[in-house]
Amino acid sequence: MLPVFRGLMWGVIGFLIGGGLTALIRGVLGLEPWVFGSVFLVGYLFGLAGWLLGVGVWDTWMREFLGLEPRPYQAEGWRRYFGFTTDHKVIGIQYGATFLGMFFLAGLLAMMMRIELMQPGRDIFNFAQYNRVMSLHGFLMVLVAVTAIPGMFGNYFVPLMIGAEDMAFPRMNALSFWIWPPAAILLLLSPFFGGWDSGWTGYPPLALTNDPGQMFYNLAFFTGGLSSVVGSINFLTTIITMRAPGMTWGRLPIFVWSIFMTSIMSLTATQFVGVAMLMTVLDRVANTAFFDPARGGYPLIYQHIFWFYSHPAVYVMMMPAWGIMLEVLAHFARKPLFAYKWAVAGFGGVTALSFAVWAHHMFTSGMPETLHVPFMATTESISVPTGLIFLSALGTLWQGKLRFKTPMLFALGGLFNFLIGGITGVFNSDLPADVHLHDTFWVVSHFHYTIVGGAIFGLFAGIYYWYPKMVGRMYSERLGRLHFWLMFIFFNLVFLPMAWLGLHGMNRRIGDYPPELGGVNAFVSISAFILGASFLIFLYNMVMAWARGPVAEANPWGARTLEWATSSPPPVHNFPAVPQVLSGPYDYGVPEAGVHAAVPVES
Amino acid sequence: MSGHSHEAVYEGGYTRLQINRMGLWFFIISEAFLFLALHAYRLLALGTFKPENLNITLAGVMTIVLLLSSLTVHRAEKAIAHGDTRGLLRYLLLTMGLGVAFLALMGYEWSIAFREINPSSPYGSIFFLTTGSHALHLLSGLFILALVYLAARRGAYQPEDHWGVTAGALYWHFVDVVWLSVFLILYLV
Amino acid sequence: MRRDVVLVGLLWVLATLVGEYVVSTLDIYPPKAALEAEHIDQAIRTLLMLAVPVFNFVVVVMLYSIWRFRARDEAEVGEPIYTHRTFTVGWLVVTSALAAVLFYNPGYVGWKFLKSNPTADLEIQVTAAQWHWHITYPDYGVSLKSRPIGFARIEENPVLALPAGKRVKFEVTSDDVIHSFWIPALRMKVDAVPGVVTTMYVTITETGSYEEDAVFRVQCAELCGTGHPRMTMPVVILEPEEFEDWIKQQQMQEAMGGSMEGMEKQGDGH
Ligand code: HEA
Ligand code: HEA
Ligand code: CUA
Ligand SMILES: [Cu+2]
Repeated sequence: MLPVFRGLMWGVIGFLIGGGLTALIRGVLGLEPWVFGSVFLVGYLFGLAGWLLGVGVWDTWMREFLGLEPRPYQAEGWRRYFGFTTDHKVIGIQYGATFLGMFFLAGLLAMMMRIELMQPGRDIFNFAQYNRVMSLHGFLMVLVAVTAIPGMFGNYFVPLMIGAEDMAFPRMNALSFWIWPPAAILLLLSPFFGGWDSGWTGYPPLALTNDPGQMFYNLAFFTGGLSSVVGSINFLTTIITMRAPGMTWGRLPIFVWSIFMTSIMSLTATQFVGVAMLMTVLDRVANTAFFDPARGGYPLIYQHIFWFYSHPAVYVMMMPAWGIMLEVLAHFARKPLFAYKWAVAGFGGVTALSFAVWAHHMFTSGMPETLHVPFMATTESISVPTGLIFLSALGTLWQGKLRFKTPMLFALGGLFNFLIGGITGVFNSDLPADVHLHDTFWVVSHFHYTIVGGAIFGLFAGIYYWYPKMVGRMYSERLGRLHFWLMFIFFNLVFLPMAWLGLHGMNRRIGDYPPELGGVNAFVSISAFILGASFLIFLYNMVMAWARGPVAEANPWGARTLEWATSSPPPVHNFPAVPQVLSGPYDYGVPEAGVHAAVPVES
Repeated sequence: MSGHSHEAVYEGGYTRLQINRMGLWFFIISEAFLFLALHAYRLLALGTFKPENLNITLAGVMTIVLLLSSLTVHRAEKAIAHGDTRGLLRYLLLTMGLGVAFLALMGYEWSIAFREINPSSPYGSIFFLTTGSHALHLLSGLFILALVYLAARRGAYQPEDHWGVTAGALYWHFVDVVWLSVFLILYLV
Repeated sequence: MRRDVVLVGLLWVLATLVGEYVVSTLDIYPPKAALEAEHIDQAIRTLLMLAVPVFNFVVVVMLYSIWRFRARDEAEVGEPIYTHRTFTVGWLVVTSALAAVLFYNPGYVGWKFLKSNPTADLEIQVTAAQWHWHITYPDYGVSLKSRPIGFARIEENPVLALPAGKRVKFEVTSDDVIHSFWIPALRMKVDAVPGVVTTMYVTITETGSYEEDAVFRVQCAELCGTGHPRMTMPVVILEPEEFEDWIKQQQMQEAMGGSMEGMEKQGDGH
């Protein structure tokens, strides 16, 4: 039996046991046994444990701990992808498939929202349904943005780029992926149980008084956070300890640096969102009083704890995308990455500051007056380390020899979009401006410019850049460019007018708006449909290339970094023997540099 | 972490032991942030408010029990480092015993607290959540030590290779330090 | 190389001049009716003017490079430039200075202005609840309650009237979940948090009404559940005399009693 099926089975059994036990205990205590809240909560936790044990934790860890012979999952071909496999490349692809699927699903939800918003008044949804669709879209997308790049490319390419054979903890790596399916299943099931209507931020008291579907969000967020923590432990340890000889910190490819810094944020801050979710759930099912004003609780503290994670989370989304963009820029300009150390310092500065800006989401929340100005100051100063990324990018382009292949187009487009996103962010951080702009479509414009325009463009730059390496086949460059131009143009046509809408009084999270704003919204919606359609070209291109594209060379771009020094796709243990790193990854045109690394043919 | 078949694995000049240790440290840092978040709630929402009828003496006794257990687990590790498996087993048992004693005291404390501190008030909520999270960590520490104990009985550890013991001990120390912070933030501040 | 730098510099100056002109004349601001609104629009305008050179610099360098530095054949490699001291340090200094300027003005100065004057001619109490606005004028014993009927029938909702030329204090709170009290024409909002009273001071300057522009409305700006988009009511800003008349009219209606309540029953369904 494929481990996924056993996991599902054990998961369902766990759910039934946990839920049943809870109902039983409640019954014994003389309470109403079948209440959704606690039965579902405990059932889920048992189900999660059952799932993990079934999918592979039992066979590997538990058997070993109990002194039995572990039975790691060893399969060939497509079966590898459906079990607890430890090969980082398989795990990368598992992440990629899962999260691209979620991305398309959430994108389709966005299309539904745009149909509703195409004209004022109520069209295809009632307001309750709209809120639920909006919440699911936002939350799925946030999970995609936080996880897709580290999960897919971090896992696949960090070990390759540093010349390692695998991650430091291969089994934990598998665990970090297999924690995800329960969260994904929760979210996919949520619409059938009514979904939840409190947005991706789930502020109490709304999140305490709305329908029980709210718990799908809380538990999914909690589960995803768990995976993030496990994954970041692995990245940090891998990058510190597993570098090939000669791969000094100063020679680390910038993408690896971005994953390193990102992991620092997800390692620590994620615990806060876990706690926020936990407290909300307890308020719902266990009559605690954390955030419930009816029992004397403090709803604003939720916002502090939530944003202490969720602000760093936006850099968790963005930083790996910057890494990809700089990586692509340097290779496609055939130039050393400009001001490499400053770019790394930029990542470090953003990481450090990201912990100190959270309250800029709360400028109108009624938090103590003394907090506003300091948080405005920290938020605005984060532009400076972010600016270093742009410094590096522009310097890399200057005097280069640019090759405008699809990945390069996405990197350049992403930089351009993120510039607008960053600048609109500075408007948000400005206290007087934010009093008006907060919770309007201006903010929606801001974060789609940063997340979609920056992080998702970075993701696609990465997909086009590394596709030949991961799949071993080449896609059609023509279709790639067509996708880029459609996506780039219509992305801007969708999200720039939203800034105007926000300025003109269109608030967020609404299925209806003043009739005057109908025209611009119709324009936005139509652009959004074309933007959505552009992904069909992408899908077609990828599927066709996978099925019958020309076989890719080991190094189709002529790039220096180590992942290109092995076959496409790489063999199970990446390199025939341990590579010896001899010079920097971007030393193009440096006569004395020689190759980046010597990879012995056979040990 | 075993399960690696490939021979030529290069680990950047780090030994497997060092790598494992580093991973565990990152895990501990992460867990520390969990308790930081709980403490943040307590301090942000309630400042230094605390109900009068907190049983500080009992908590003090619990602190001492847990500190003692840190000592014994340290001795356990020292024992195996010198090849003394029987000493290891003895000290592990002692540590687990102290852990169980702590949990029993905690249970007693809870049974009183349920009456004296309203769990449906902000302080009560954070009190039970924090101490409960800590108890859960302690419980998982006990579980790990039990596994280590079983493995030790099978003779799985040698003086030069006893990562399991080290990991268990490190985690136990961590749970201990967390209790100190809980004691400080919930009872003393 | 030298030529490239000079050209880019020229292009940047040119683009920035054009950009500044556009931004300073661009009228993307909806009607406004408060002193605070003027300051906030001014803050946005200042930020746009500060953003223009930054945006243009990045875009000009990018476009110029795309045009000028394309590879002609596969073998070509770029100049092996690792870094450039003057440029890097200059960039750091300029961006830091810019961030500091931004922070001071419009940020700090603007915020001080919004918070500097806690006096008011008129006090209005606002209580939000799923999904109504309950508004009282305590000095006059007048109170209004909106119903969640949305934009299609917004004219059936009572109108929140404000006097032009007066400084108004809003005391905002909520009965259930978090809402946010926002009047786009005033550019001001503050959250309605259960158990907390938040305040907002606004100096009204101009008259206006919902019929003129939809920014003259109260809008709930914090997601509060199903009725969130419908938590809205029209605003009218009247000359002080007219406002007095309006108040009298309301007081009369209130004295007549009951008529409001009756209407509520009708349209409350959702
Ligand atoms: C990828 C995700 C991402 C990124 C990178 C950012 C980056 C930034 N964000 Fe954004 N933000 C979000 C995602 C992101 N944000 C999301 C999802 C929300 C909404 C959450 C919700 O409520 O649902 C949000 C909301 C949000 C708010 C709250 C708005 C509100 O609700 O009222 C604020 C306020 O300060 C803000 C500010 C910023 C700033 C200052 C940056 C800065 O990092 C930007 C820095 C970059 C630049 C400035 C451009 C490049 C710099 C230069 C060229 C140097 C020179 C420039 C200067 C000196 C100015 N963001
Ligand atoms: C990664 C992050 C991400 C991404 C990529 C997107 C993408 C898009 N978003 Fe989203 N959005 C958010 C994150 C994101 N969003 C968040 C966090 C919120 C806030 C939620 C909240 O307030 O709580 C939000 C809210 C939000 C709103 C505001 C709703 C409101 O406040 O009322 C709107 C409105 O237009 C919107 C639109 C869009 C559109 C048109 C896209 C487009 O770019 C989508 C492009 C289309 C596709 C990707 C679909 C393509 C697929 C196909 C064509 C078919 C193939 C399908 C299969 C094979 C199954 N989004
Ligand atoms: Cu009230 Cu939204
Ligand atoms: Cu933020």
